[in-house]
Amino acid sequence: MRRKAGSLVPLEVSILGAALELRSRGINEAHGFLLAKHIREGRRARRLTAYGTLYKALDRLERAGYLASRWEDPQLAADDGRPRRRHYRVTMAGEAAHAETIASERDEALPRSAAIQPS
Amino acid sequence: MTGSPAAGLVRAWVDLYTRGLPAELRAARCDEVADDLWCEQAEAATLGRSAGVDMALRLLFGMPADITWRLAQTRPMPAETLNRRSSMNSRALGLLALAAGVTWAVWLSAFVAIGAEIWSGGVAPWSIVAIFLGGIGFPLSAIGLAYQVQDRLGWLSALGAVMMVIGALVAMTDSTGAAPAILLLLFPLGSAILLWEVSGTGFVSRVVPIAQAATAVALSIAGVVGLPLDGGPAERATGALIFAPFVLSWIVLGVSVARGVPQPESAGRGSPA
Repeated sequence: MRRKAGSLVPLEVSILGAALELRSRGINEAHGFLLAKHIREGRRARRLTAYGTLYKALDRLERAGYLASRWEDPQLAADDGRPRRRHYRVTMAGEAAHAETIASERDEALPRSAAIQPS
Repeated sequence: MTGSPAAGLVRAWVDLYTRGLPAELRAARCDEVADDLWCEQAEAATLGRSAGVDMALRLLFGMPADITWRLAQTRPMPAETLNRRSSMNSRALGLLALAAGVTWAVWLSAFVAIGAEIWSGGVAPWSIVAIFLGGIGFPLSAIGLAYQVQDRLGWLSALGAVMMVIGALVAMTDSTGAAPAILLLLFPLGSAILLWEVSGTGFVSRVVPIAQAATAVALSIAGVVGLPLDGGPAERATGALIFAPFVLSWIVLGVSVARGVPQPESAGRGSPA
């Protein structure tokens, strides 16, 4: 099924949420593994998000303008003896889209929870 | 740190599904996953456990997304959804293709009606002009379009352009039909190859090269079975029918390009900053 343009799927909401949460802790940029690790912890999941699912979602979020990315200085990676790293940060549009999705999810959940309240 | 069999499997898979993508896009995805693997192994080493099973599962569950992502990279964007920009060059190329296409369509209709007499009397100069307009106009507009997206085209486009030019030269100089049919076949075939490559960038519709390839295939079949394309009215009509998709494709291309050239997204997306 084709998705509505601009709509976020749960994983994308989680990615934006993880990036915003990390930012609140002073980590303004995060690479894919760090985001996946943060999502795993937030969901109390046993495993990290699959590679394909994670990087496809990151790609989509960046194309939508909700994330911006940059490649780190290759010298840093060389010094650490690891592959080069791509850092993502949430844009203002991403922050707004995340807030909007969370708010609409809350609005949808409220009537349902009200309906099951004992009268 | 990168030597586990599961990590090797992930790298091999990434290497496989990114094959044929632009080098920067491919390198970006390979490096990004390689860094993820490195981090995952580093974390597992810190915790004193193996990451192999998790890696294999992450690989397996992510494969459908990898495949759809890969398909999305190769699928050309529909020209109608792209931002069309008109420039003097694109308008000129479009009008050239349109003029040549319409001229050939008129010429083909006249050929079906009067046959070989089209090369004699007062009509002959018009026939020559018509054939030359297509022979020069079609390759010029196709190569002009290809030039605008040259950085996104490969050797196949160059081969198509060369084949097309040879075929066009044959079409312009061989009014008697003495040249081997294979040389004439190079015109629609080379053009179809070149414009197929150009259409891969979203610059023109895929319909254009497919229509041209249809003419090339029909021309080949006619050559193999020895079907005469001139002579009586029925043969001439068959010849016109074979060339109709080729001619119409230029009219479609001309109208589309004259309206403005779609601006494809930057190829550098996903590349290192």
